[in-house]
Amino acid sequence: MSKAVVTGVGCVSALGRGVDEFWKHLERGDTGIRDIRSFETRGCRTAKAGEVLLSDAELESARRLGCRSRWDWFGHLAVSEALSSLGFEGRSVPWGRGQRVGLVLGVSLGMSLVKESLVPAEAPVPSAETMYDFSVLLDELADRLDITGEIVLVTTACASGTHAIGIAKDMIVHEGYDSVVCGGIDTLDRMKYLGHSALSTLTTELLAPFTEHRSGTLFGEGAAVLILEADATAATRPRRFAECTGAAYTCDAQHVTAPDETGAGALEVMRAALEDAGLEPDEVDYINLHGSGTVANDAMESLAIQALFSEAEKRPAVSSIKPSVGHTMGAAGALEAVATVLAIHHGLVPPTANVKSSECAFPLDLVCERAQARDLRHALSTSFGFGGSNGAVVFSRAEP
Amino acid sequence: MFAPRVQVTGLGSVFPFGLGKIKLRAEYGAPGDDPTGKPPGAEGSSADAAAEDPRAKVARWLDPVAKNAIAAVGDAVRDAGISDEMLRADPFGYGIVSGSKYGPVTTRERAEEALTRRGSASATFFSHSGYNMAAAMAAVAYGCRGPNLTLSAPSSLGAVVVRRAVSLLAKGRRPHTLFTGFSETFRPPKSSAAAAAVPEAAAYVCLSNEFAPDTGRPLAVLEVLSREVVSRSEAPPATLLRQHYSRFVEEVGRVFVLGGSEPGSELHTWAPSSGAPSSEAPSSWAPSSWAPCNFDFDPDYLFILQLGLAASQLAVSRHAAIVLPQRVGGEVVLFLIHAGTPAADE
Repeated sequence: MSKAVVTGVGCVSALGRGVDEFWKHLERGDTGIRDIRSFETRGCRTAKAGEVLLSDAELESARRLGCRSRWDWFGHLAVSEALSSLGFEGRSVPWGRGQRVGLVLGVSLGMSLVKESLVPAEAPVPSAETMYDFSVLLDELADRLDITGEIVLVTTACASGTHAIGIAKDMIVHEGYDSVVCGGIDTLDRMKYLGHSALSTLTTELLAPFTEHRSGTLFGEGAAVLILEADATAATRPRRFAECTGAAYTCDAQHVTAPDETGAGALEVMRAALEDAGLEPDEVDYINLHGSGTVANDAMESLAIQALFSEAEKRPAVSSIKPSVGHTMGAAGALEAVATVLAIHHGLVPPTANVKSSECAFPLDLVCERAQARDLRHALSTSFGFGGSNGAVVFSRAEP
Repeated sequence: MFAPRVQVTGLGSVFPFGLGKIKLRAEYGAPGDDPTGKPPGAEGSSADAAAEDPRAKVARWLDPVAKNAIAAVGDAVRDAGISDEMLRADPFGYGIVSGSKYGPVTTRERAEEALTRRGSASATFFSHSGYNMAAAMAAVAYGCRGPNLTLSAPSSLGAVVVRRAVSLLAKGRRPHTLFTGFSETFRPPKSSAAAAAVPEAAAYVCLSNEFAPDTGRPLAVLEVLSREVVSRSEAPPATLLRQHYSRFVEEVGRVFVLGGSEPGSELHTWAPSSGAPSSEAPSSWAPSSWAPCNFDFDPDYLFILQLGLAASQLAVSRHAAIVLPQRVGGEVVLFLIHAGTPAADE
């Protein structure tokens, strides 16, 4: 069995373009959540989100490249940066004939509810036949990347990104793949914001997870891509950011939107991911939380963490990046995975924006206000979504 | 090379002519029948068929793909001999891996209509618009708390879904049982200019590893052969079979290769000495009647039925094997179904 080494990363989010910008703002506890500008918010519970604003020049670049949608463009930006971190620019790709290369990406609802374009539609407008078939877009991306192996789109609501990375890790470790491009991409639009307004998942205040006064989440959009590679291939790359050592998937099997309030599904997915990585809870140094800020989710997640570490001698540091980028749905698990990988790489836990240490209402070592330097060897990243989807991945410091 | 093997223990299906494989097989046994259609002179739909399962009646507004998934998974649960007690005793051992190209189209269109009409969204329709709702609602119905994945792919989605499930089962103790298949409307969105509609339907096979409780009902063993990138000029099934499985053929006798994923493909037998599949067709096997059937729907779906029915057939004919070759991207994947032992001996 090979290791699954993270050799490339790329992302776009409300914090800006690229991993460096993303990490710089995360480290400072900045937030990219602001007034929505790209679609009308009449009837929405809030007018704030973690939007990715596209300049006219960027829209022109996207059109020139043939991107038909924000989903497509975000994916292009994240993939290009990930390839660039391997030293490949433009249309050149870092794999050759005979290598087994796959593509696994997650999306939640994506563009399924409105006509997709580079500018979010004002109202739901049915589009052509590709409207509901995301895999067509995935195929185009695979063509651009010259990927000839398995191509998979994972649609497990807000756990999609985490599940995609888990599948990619299994393809490397168990199935002999040389390289797998994986991650998540998702976009905001008016329909989704109206839908979540109807569900009352949105807060009208600050997104402040794990506080007493938390009252809901705020959504965001973006993309994050990781390139996972087998040891032999990774040895030829300029950098080894981390290793993906464990992955697991469970389901609450209780309700369409509400999590299992006992946290049993979340506990089991974390436990199984650690087992897959061959680790004990004691060995976990950091958890990048789902931390959506809804009353039910944070309480459930805290219960699960307490249960997982009930017999551990030390508790891990934890934090949520959702107050910084918003809840990016199908991209959330992937952006959080990139944050986790960078935390290990830099030995630094990013803080939970909008929250003061004194405000944490749960018995967690929630890192707030400023980043904390820690010796991070192993870290978990978790995601929980509609339909009771639970996912967890484990990243470990890359061995030289 | 990784060549996992699992057991196929059941098949569940919902088609317009009824719930369950027995009805399915009875209806399309004769060459030329269209298994997606209604039986002659009968009215009805997949929703009517799904309603034969009491758990599929949970809510009248539930999307047809969710209702059908509940009914088809339930059929697979029963066919595999899995009791409610077994599900309750180890809920994280059981999961669902589902494929979907279009998701719950009916509900999404209702959500859009509600928005157009009222200017605000419907919480119910919006929350049930997710692509994963069919698998999620089936998990709720049976308490399956293991992996719940909904996947899509540009091609060979049936093969992708089964391969992902087999890979998960090969990881260890949990999950040990995965209901693997599709619930799909096949009705293109109203706005689409895509091909004509075909009825909603669902089919799931029950796949288990060696840690699953013994139900005494294994149908057959499924192996996923090592995948290799091959040139288009090669005869992939023969090449890979010759490379890896001469010992296997010696054990089981004849290997039948159901050629490709295209409807109407011929069924070949193959032996190592011949070098390539011949066109000798088996005479008495139910699978021989598959080829002439008019499967006028997504071939990805056909793959699940082929797999389930091949396993059912091999539960009777113990001295043979069936190969389902699929092309996934630039790779060839061979799914071998035989009556051997489930433990890997690579």
